[in-house]
Amino acid sequence: MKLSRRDLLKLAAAMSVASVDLPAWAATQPAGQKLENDDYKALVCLFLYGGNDSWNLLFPVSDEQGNGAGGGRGFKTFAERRGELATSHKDLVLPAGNQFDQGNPYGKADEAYRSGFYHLDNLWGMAACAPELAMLHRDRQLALIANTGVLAEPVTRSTINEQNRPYFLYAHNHQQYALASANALIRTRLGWAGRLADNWNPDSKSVLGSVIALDKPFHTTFGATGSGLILPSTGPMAFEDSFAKGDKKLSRFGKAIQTLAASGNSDAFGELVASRYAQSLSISQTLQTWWLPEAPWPKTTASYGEDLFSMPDDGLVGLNGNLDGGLMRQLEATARLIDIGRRTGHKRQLFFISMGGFDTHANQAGRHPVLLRSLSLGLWHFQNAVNAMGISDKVTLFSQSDFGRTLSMNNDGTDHGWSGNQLVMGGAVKSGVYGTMPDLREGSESVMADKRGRVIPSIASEQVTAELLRWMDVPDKDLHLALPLLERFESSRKDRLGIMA
Amino acid sequence: MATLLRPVTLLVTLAISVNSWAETICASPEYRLATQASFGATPDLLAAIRAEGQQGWIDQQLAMPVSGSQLNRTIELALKIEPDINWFGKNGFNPDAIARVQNFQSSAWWQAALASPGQLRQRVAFALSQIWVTSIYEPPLQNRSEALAQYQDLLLSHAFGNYRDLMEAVSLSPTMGVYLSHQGNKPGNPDENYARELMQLFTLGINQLNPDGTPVMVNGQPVATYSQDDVMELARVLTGWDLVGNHRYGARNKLQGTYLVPMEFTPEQHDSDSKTLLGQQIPAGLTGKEDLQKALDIIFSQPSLPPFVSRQLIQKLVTSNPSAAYVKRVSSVFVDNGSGVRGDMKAVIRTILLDPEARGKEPDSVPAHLREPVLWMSGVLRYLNVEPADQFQWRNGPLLTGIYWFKQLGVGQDPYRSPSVFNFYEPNYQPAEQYFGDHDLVAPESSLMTGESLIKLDQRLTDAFAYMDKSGLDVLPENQLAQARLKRNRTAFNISIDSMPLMHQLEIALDGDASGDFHYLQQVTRPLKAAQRDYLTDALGKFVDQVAVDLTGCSLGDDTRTEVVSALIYMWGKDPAAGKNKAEKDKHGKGKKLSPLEASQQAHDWVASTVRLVAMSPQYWVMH
Repeated sequence: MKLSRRDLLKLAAAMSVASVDLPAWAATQPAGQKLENDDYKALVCLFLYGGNDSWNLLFPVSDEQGNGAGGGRGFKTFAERRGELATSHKDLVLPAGNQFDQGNPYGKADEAYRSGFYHLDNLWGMAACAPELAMLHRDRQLALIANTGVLAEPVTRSTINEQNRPYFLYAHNHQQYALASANALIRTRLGWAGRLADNWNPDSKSVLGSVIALDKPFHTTFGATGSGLILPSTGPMAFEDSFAKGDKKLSRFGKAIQTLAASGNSDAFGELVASRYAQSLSISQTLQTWWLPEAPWPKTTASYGEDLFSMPDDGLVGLNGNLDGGLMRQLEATARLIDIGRRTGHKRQLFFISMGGFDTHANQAGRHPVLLRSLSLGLWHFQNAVNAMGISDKVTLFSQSDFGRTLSMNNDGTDHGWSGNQLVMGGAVKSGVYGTMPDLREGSESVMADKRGRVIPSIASEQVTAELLRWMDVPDKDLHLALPLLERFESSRKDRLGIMA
Repeated sequence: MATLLRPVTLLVTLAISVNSWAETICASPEYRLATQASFGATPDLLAAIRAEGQQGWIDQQLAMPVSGSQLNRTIELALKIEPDINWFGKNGFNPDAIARVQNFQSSAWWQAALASPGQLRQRVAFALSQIWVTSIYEPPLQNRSEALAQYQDLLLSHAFGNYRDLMEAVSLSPTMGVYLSHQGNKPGNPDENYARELMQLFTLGINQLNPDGTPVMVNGQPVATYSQDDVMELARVLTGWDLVGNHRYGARNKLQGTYLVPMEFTPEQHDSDSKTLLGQQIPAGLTGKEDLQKALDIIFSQPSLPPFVSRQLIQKLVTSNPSAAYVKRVSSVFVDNGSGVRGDMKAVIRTILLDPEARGKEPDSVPAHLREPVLWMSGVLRYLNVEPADQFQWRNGPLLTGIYWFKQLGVGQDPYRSPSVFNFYEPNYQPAEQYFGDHDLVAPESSLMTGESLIKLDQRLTDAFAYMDKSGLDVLPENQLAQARLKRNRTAFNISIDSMPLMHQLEIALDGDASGDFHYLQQVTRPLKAAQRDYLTDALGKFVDQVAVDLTGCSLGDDTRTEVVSALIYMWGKDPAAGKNKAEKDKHGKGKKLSPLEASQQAHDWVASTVRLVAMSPQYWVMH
């Protein structure tokens, strides 16, 4: 695989530290705001790997008759389809303030998963394990998108066929690719965030690009001219001896690494290695410069009285299993990087973070509550930090997941389904539940024919992303470049969801 | 420095004399085969390949039996390291102790990878463990990690067997049964997890393949290998199996069931109606085993299986981007080994390794793939003469020898600790860099190369030189040695390395002998005179090149070597006492010479820095 000089130049260009900062449209924003960087917005995409059973996070709670939701759209059908996984029909009471003075609002921890729900409106309830999410909804900082997922075009049970269904529906990786590329029809390499960044101003040499993934690569960030930076959620770290003591400058040893990194040996793989070392050094340097030793938000406590981004005591939470400290760490890093982004003059940033473990084929009743509890706590901490920094209207977080899961159980878990429910959180969000309640009965137009209860989405994931990108002031032409199938679901303005203020 | 007077055992270096630095010397045939078929080249391994010839060595490896059970070693380690614990309960390990078994399982794995003479079998089993993925991150395997040792034994024993046998053994393995949850399945709505991944990830892939690995196209469209109906039908086949000794059929409890024998069949829990899988009938009324065998026969006979499996094995051993012709040559041997046998792994592996493309005889397609973190670490440790930890002690237990302690590597890849069934990286992962997209190339292992994992890998190596190098520790005073031992015994991994041969190489480059006194370093004063700088540049350049050739198969380019050497010289010039009090400064400062101890410590610093830098080079990372 000997490369030509032209290839090498191209490779070098593509591999120069992927960074973009000022989006082209930001230049047209009105200047003269009071704050140095008042024109700042961050969008955080939280990917729940494995396929979250979000039909047990947000679910129908009303009667089906009379003033209720209608046949198949209330708690009765839901409970029948879910079997042993169904929650009891009990309306739990949220604490009045922001802290649980009386212990867990969901009562006995080992029954939390099935102990009831918090009413969000007449039709929908939030799982008992997610009291903080219900509090965020109460505080008008959370929107829920019901019955959403990967779609190639609007379909129902009777219109679906091989041509109009997503490519390799039910396969984890292909549904992840479809969400990353915002294209359910074919496998494409580039992601929607990467395609957006391709059109952003490439002149900046700042290592802090506008597209940042934490801890691992995300296909979503892959663009034609590079990809998002991958930053460690653990904060600054560096090769031993690579920086002069107490200095932000590379030591002689660091420079030797840099030179090694510049010697790719004229081979695509060698160049790849070299660029990764170069990136690693510049990331260390940048984070050492900008990452503050202290938290950039005023001291605040969360639901159990714990400090922000520290885990509440296991005994208080009381679930049988470990809460996900990885999510908490990533959310803290994101909040700190947002602060750094503002201090360094960035205007628009996209963050990609993730949490795993949602592929609950087995022992779902034991594992899913711990996942939901981690999610609810983590998001509460994050939103509190953002609020404390006084930028709640500048930061929006939303969730995605491979797919939802079957309504019916296998032995003690659920299998790969299709539609699910997702979250959009932040001060700029118009809180509420978006989307219509599907008829969950077997034979309904809203579920697949195979009897397992694989619900068909009625809102395409692109519709949600589009709302958020418009909030980021992405112009229409770039929006459609990022979301090529959007017009299939939004033929006119009236189809817009209107999630953002 | 007394230890340097030990008999001189120089590394047998590759038979390359570095006459001209202008030329980058790369990959001898022996080095290339060693990187493809082992956990890292060593002088002994290279000598063995030279002695037997490449084909001879491969055949010798293929004929070697499995060299020890990881399960037995896991148990042995538990008993040795924590002898006061009552390890055994009704179903294997005792409930009080089970959470710790994972450390012993991991240590047993690393010991075999680093030290087993049957390197090829170990390497193929490692590849298989990243195709037929199971992982500790599925309860209760975190508490029952003997299951992972047992599963590795299964892969080791089938690595040189038949692929169809492997399919059946894994399907009945309690480890896979729990990991992909077909354990305890019942008629009705059986769990689809294993049924789907068995076809998608382990045997067929999503699209039908030609024998050369390219997709079958009909009317310009790829053709799916299976449908959702096939997944559901196969899930029905897989009903009725559960762990031996489970107290209640289908329960998943960390204290119940044994992982040491295949799952057992319960007829009442089996869906014995007829099934249709991939267009073929499985009649009603068969036993569970007959049902399973029919289903596996149907899958095994699919024309997509040989190219799907062959390509992945090639990718793990030889090159990320094999040519279609290479895949076809291997998959046709998979289809028929020449004696009419399909799925003969020995024939497949031999073909993969002896193919002209693997042997670098195809000028247009030089084989290349990136080291994954495990192979990066194992390669450099084997180069550094890795041995069991010196005076190992865990949690106030007895002082032990013979232990390779690998609690965790923590760099994005620890064997049997994949975050999901999709492995640490996907075989078709294409990095974001445009070149790979434009040329339709994949670099699967690159998805693990984050800034963080690169730093952590280097940190492991730095720790090894600081606390685990026999040659470095030998010169420490007793109190510092005790400190170093304490530090090692708290690290996530603890082994010994021996940099003595490298110290000898360096001394020969500097002094022309390996007497151990580093007399040139004792003569030189700081700051360096021009002639001294030239001398050191020349000597260190030779040393750096020798390290590069031995560790990576390639010498470094001129510019890189120059930079590495000047970094080494600069580090020497750097006053170790800079910033401390004046007396210290005077002692180490201008015009002072190094004591014999300081000279050997300086040499050790140079050895460590050189190996660290060479191990960061693209030459080391890219396995040609």
